[in-house]
Amino acid sequence: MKTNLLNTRAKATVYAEVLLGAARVRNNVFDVAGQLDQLVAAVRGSIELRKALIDKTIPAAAKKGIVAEIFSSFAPELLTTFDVMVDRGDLSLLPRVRDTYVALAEKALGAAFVDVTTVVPLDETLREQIVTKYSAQLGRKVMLREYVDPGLIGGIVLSAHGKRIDASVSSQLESARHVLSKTV
Amino acid sequence: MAEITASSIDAVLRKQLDAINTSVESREVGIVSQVGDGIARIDGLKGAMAGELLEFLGEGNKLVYGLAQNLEEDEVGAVLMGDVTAIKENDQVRTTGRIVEVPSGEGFLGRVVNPLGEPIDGKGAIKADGYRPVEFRAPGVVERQGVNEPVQTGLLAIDAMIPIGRGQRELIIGDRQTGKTAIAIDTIINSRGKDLICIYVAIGQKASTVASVVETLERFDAMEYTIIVSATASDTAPLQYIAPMAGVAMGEHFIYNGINGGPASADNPGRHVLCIYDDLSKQAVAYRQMSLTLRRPPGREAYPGDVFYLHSRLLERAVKLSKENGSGSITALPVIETQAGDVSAYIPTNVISITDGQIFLQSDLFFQGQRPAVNVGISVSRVGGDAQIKAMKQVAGSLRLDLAAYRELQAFAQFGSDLDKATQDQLNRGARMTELLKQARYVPMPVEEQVVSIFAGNEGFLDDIPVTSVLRFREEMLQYMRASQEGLLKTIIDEKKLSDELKEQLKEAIASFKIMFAADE
Amino acid sequence: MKLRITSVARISVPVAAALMAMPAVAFAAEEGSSGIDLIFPTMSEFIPMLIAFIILWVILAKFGWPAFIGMVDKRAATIKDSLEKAETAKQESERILAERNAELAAAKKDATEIIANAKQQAEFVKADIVASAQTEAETIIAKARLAIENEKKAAIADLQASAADMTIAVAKRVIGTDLSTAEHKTIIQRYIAEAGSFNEN
Repeated sequence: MKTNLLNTRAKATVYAEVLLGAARVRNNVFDVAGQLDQLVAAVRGSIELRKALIDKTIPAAAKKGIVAEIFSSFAPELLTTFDVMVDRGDLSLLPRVRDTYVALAEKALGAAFVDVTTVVPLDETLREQIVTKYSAQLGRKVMLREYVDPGLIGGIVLSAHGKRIDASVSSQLESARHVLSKTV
Repeated sequence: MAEITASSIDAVLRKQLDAINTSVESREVGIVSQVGDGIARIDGLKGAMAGELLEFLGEGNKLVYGLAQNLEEDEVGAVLMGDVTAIKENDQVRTTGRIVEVPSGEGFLGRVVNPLGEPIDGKGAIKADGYRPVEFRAPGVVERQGVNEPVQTGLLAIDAMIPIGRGQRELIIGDRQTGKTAIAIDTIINSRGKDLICIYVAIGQKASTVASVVETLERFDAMEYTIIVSATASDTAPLQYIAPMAGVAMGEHFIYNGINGGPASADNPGRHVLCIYDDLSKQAVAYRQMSLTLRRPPGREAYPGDVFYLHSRLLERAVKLSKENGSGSITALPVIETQAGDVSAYIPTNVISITDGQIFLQSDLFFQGQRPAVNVGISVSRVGGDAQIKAMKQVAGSLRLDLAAYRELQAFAQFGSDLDKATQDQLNRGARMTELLKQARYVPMPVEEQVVSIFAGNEGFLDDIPVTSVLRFREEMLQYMRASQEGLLKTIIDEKKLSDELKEQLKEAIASFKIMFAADE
Repeated sequence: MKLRITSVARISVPVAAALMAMPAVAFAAEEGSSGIDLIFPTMSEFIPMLIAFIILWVILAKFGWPAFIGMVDKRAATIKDSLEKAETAKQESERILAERNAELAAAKKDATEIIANAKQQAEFVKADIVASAQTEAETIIAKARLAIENEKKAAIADLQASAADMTIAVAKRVIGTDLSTAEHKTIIQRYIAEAGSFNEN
């Protein structure tokens, strides 16, 4: 496990910096941040994938092929970095690389990344409204990553920096159900 | 009692939906990165506090609570309480800003709850008077006073020689099947009408055992002043781990809040609480499991290094509060199960050193028919003597030494056959006194009857009665005293000591009973 | 007293016999030895006999009587003694009898007392049993009532929970299908305006 905290920290920073450099060249810094998030979730969510990637009996080329196939839509610089990480057995560093990358990227772009989830796609006015409100709040330019999830039923969920504002109808209904079944 | 009507549901819905719009605030959210063995590792949650309550949003919006334990640089190790299987990787985790709290109040009396304070007896929701933190710093020196009131167990052997005071911590230790729980249950049953709220915390026991305890307490009308906190063997280790703390937290509600509901003070006295942790060895095992799965380094017997601190901070919460703080008290009766009488194992030595004394139960005594199987030689109570009533001190003062001398003589007398008269007398007296201390389950004896019983033995009324008839003599004598010498018993309680005059009257009464007893034979 | 008289009589028997013998001697000397004379001794026989008699009398008076009288006196004393003893024994036995009687009465009294005591105790015990049975019955009834009440509460809670679940499910369905995109956007707009800040905590 993590025998040397400083060492891991340094390693993660190296990966993040390299990735950021490559993404800047391709002018892709913001998108890579989102893809990195999805990559972390995917690796976390699937034991099979994790197992395959740390399995020493599977040749590096095969692992590369698996990664390329699953994450075909991702930016090539991200996939290359990820392949190196898999090769060197640094898979467990992924969440730390993501955090470091996001921090570096936000600094580089002078912006804050905000995830927005809604039931229907945002239109310009709504986008404008969100950006205005949260730019003022965070004191930085806000860049939105938009997701659509019908499971919300209605309303909006915003998240940034590990914090979340949940103004969705589904969670409100859930709390209403809680209250209804508990109060007599 | 509101009826459920369409309009009431509608009203609640509207209220909720309206309220939510203005109350949506940002909350810190993390993601479960790994889950298993009742442990979750969480990405994010940089602001989580140690011991903070976490909300896990599982499948189908199922809410599962967890306890933040390991705070690392980029992840948090948390233990899950409740339905572990509902949580998967990538599930959301929210901080709550609260440490774990349990509800408590009058409504909990007579109920069976889990360590989170949720009812598990099928009797419906419980109305809480307030919430208490599960981890709470024990009161300091100035907030306390010395132990000065007794907890009557109703057991002659214990009340006479190993007295327990309110606010004391008295360990009940012994092998399995030696009657540890029986002592605890008898104490609860005997606390009826003594202004003592009992909290029985069952940790890692079979659910059927807990059910039979509940059934017994109900049969003796003891449930109405008792709360049962149950974390059975099938509950997760974290639930078993917090169960004793949850129990004492429920008790703290009663000592820090006075009778009128407000904070306890000199004018608004707090209540008295008895907490029984049955048993702490299982809690230590649950904590060990939790710690090992959290990858904390193991120590002696693979217990984590802070298992001593775990028990000491739990037992330190037993308290007798000072007058200004309402004079409430929490008495702790931890139970420890030993393996083959080995008290030098890690957990037994720890708890023995923390508590103010121990009641040592031995299986050989148990099988000899000496029940309760208390070994009075090595059982002690370091502070309870101050809480004994004077009458009991008067009659029981020498009992302990006499019995010790008897045991010594008994061992010695096995070798020689010719004994002088004095030795013979001492052996006779000892055998009868030992017999006198036997007591069946669920028949607690009020203190005044205990005093009379020991008094009868001390004054030699038993010396010419066959050992096999001693118990019958005791029962019938007490029955006689209750029926025709009620005044004497009452005087003992009122005066709390035996004056010379009272002693004479007692002797007379016992003698007059003895005539009848002899006639019976 | 009577004995004493008897002993005196006994002593006087030989004296009387001696006195009676003297006229008989005189009479025999007058008549000679015909028919009746055979009865009377002849003077020649009489004189030595008298002398022998007197000698015997003297010897007896000197040595026999005192011994005899002493013996008789001793016997009288013994008899008197045993009489007295019998008297005191009788008195003693009467006293003891009285005592025994008293004790018997006391024992009887004690026994009745003990029986009364036992009866009273039994009465107490009986009252106790009856009372405890009564309270037990009452508690059983109370417990049964409580159990019923609890069942009712549990049932209501159950019903409430399922009602709540159903309500929410329906609400979800209704909101999910009924809202148009435009309406969704309005809601979003409103929520954005009302939602809190990331900075707060």
